[in-house]
Amino acid sequence: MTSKYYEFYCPVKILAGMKALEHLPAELAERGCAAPMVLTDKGVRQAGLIEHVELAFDEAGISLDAVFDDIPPDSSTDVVEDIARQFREHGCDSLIAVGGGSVMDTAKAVNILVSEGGEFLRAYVGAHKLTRPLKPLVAIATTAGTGSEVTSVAVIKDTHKQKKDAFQSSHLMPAVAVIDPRMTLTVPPGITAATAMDALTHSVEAYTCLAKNPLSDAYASAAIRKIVLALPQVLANPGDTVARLELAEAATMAGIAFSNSMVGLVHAIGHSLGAVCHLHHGTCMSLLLPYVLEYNYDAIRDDLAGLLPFLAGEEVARATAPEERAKASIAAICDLRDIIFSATKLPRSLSESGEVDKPQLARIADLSVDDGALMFNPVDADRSDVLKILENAW
Amino acid sequence: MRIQSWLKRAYVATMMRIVGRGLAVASRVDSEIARELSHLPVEMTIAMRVSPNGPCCFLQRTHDDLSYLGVRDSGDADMDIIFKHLQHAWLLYTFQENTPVAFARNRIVLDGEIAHATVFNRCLARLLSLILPRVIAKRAVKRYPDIALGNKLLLATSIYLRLPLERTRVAL
Repeated sequence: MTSKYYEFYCPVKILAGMKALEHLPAELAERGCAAPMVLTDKGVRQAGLIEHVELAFDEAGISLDAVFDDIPPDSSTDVVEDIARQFREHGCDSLIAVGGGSVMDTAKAVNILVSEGGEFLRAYVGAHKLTRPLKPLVAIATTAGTGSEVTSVAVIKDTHKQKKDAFQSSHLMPAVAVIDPRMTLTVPPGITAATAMDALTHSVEAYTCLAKNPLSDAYASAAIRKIVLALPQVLANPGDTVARLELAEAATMAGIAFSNSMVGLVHAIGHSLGAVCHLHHGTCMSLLLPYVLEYNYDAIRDDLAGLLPFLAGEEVARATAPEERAKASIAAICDLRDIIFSATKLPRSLSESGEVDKPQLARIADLSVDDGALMFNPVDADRSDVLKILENAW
Repeated sequence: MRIQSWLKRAYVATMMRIVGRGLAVASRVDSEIARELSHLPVEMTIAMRVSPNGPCCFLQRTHDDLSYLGVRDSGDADMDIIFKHLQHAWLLYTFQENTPVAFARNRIVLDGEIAHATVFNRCLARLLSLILPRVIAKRAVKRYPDIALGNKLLLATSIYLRLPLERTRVAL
């Protein structure tokens, strides 16, 4: 008798489409909120993206008075505690996060303090420390990749201990996520490709790792199809708002998938590669994905074969012999990487990146085997296995 | 309490004690487990327990090894591995599921550093690979290690012989 069991949870209301931002004032009003605080970073401000949000509220007769636009790329407890103080001083009642992963994580952490009370974040470090709903948080992603707008995790650097603390609770999930193509329209092609490969990896790992389930499979496979079709279009024409919307939707769908089924060895090694060599997370994912799939091959062969229609299309899948489909799926990912390389020079190997030295591989392997994502990989990996994967990716 | 529940509870409590004491013994007998444990902070306490009031066992990393602290009614640990229900611990300790699968199926809640949990999981997997027959151990761990039969028997014998002598120690 099988003891298979899964859980699936996504309470985030998603506003997706053209002019989605204009739906936001009504959403906040519905939640009884009249004084939101906007959190963002300098890059988003300089790109003029905050103006879209401000205009949407201005036309609704609401001015956004409380704006914090100085969130650093590697946010910290000091930043979070400072923003929480400002939130209270301004008498705010909700949060609007506009940005990428760091802004989203910061907003989630600020929401802990302003909802639960207290001055210091460290009391809430860890999993399941929150026992009641927090204030409404709206997440407006400005990259199509991390999926942070639908996840229940925040990672914040403890300024005093100089280490990263993870916070996990279903209460951290935003109340509303906005997918508006205007917010990703100005992302350069290289970052667009890297973040899309991050979303693709979320989907592929969600579909092939231990906690996969029918609901996350549905989100993951649909996200893969959207990425494979929309990414080349965006790279060919960055101003294509329809394709941009497809990519942003795919990133959110991939976020829903992996937050319910977790990720595996690509992320375990990728986190370490990024930490040691300071490579963009999406680039790490793109570099490692085919090689980890090769490593997991025997355990995930059927799942990989099942992904071929989404990666290469129905016709290709039908024309491929069943025993060849798993290999064809990996080949399709490699083909996509080649297309991306032609358009953006996103590296396909560690050596091609020019950012990795061979002596660093040992350190990357050491860190990778202690990464929590390894737990959910279908095949165990020790230090020597990781080194082999890195050698293959070299 | 029904007899079936009582028996299940007693079995899980017994297995927790065996695994807890086994890890403490193995930290002195097996160099691989000792090496893994060296990555955990000294004085770190580890709890395995069944929620809400089920069996539990406590361990502590000392300067030299892992101490078995026995069963305590309450108390915080630096790393808490909590089975949400007795049935979930039953599945793990009857080797129907390994630890990663139990995590993947949301049967276990971890309160503590994830990196420490991965180290602890490797120690647990190594212990089970040593003390269980290969056919059972392969179900209890994600990947059965490449270990010579003679070496396995030697280590398993050392662990089993020392197990009854393993004392419950006081936390540092």
